[in-house]
Amino acid sequence: MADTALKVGILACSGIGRLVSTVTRQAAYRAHELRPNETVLLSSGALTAAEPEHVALLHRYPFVVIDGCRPRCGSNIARQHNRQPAATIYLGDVLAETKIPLAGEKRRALGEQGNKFVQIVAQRIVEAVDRVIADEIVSTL
Amino acid sequence: MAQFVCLQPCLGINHAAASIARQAAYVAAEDMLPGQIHLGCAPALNAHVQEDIDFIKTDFVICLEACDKGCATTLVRREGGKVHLIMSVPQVLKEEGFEAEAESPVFFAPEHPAVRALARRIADECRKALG
Repeated sequence: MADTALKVGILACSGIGRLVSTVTRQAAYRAHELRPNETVLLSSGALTAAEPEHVALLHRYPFVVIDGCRPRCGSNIARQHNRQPAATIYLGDVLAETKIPLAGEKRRALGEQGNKFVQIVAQRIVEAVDRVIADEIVSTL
Repeated sequence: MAQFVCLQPCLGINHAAASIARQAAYVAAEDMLPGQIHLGCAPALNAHVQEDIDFIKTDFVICLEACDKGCATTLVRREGGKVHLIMSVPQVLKEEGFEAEAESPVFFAPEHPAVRALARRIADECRKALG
């Protein structure tokens, strides 16, 4: 995509307890690599501490939430800051669709299947980012 | 002496030091002191997941901070936990001969020398707390 002033935040839960935490984090990095000029990585850790610079970013840009597991901590962070995500991706939904076998994958270093899952989630993020930007374009031209 | 240590990494996404700390927490917990370390998850604690609340209420809490903003420490204190030790990851890495900020934050393998060095330093502090 062309460089644009409009950016979209990526808020991955990026936790530590589960395999999917690692998937969200790596998928966020991958999506940012695919759309470096259109995306900003939002730090869940900084937002849980209400760090002012990150809170400002959350309020400045539309953003996509990537929730790893059931507590949906990324969505919770958005709610706490009174912000509605432009899109939400829940890894349970992606896994239900793709049925990638993740048994044996390790949260500290993903293997072949884990990385395949990362690529798919990253692609979903990119698609959501592209939709947000396109929606902004058609709404302002 | 504490029965468990809770490692609470800041989990920042834009700093290499945060990624190194996250990986080092796994190495310390799984390889060096299995069964003695709980991994505190910042977004889960923020969402009041009971397990994570229990960790900060009952364990010896070590916050791993990747920058001077102190996000992990802020969160633990806000949620009613006591922070027993704050480790400045850039400082430890500097002492170990690594300059983290020159690196991309994307991924550090568990075998990366910076991850191993930080994990050893974390494990040393955990052993002191566990007695």
